[in-house]
Amino acid sequence: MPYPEEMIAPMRSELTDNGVTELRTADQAKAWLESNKDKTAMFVVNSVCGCAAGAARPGILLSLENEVKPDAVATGFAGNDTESVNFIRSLVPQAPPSSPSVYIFKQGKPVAYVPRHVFEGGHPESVAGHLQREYEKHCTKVG
Amino acid sequence: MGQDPAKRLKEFHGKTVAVETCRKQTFIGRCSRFEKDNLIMVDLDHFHGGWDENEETLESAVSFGHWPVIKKVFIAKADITRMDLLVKTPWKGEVRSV
Repeated sequence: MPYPEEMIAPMRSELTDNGVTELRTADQAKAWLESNKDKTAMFVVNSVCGCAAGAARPGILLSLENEVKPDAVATGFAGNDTESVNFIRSLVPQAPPSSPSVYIFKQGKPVAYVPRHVFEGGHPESVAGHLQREYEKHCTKVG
Repeated sequence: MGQDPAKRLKEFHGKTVAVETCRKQTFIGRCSRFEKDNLIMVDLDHFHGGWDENEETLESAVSFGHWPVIKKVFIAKADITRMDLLVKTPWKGEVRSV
């Protein structure tokens, strides 16, 4: 059962107000991945849980201040944007469903996955540090 | 387990942990809380064998997470032989300036 939209709107906008593209359907997610098939693309599974509010969302935004970062960043909300989230999850079948979580794709192939337990108990700076290490391994975009 | 794991509740509460029991079982899931005699875990997976026999499974869970195939279990505190957070390095060691 989806969460009431009025409840999760601020959680969505924390990312979308900062340049993250919202993908609600599987078609949107497929098209987004296709349009970034020569680049590095990061998909954030957003969530209502406390570790998303306290660590994941602010940490992800902080991580994007890094010089090296993904070319494209998109998000879907677990439990509400089930189509886009399930499509992205289907591309990494060995990863159990987890929210919040982060998937990084390079040339359309998954290269990194950050499950929920990495965010638990973390804080924005530690999450940003973790993600930036992934960016430096996989991304080339500067600035 | 040498130290009562309940004493680390503040560290474990709401987080994903791995638990080994003297009954040769290993659990991966979220630590809910401790009652008088039990640890309550939610959204967890269960493996036969102790921690060392499940090293590969635990490594995989660190990288990919775990499948939450069981909703809730009560584990006798007295049975717990090992319990820790499912992260390679505690967060305090991972902070770096950005």
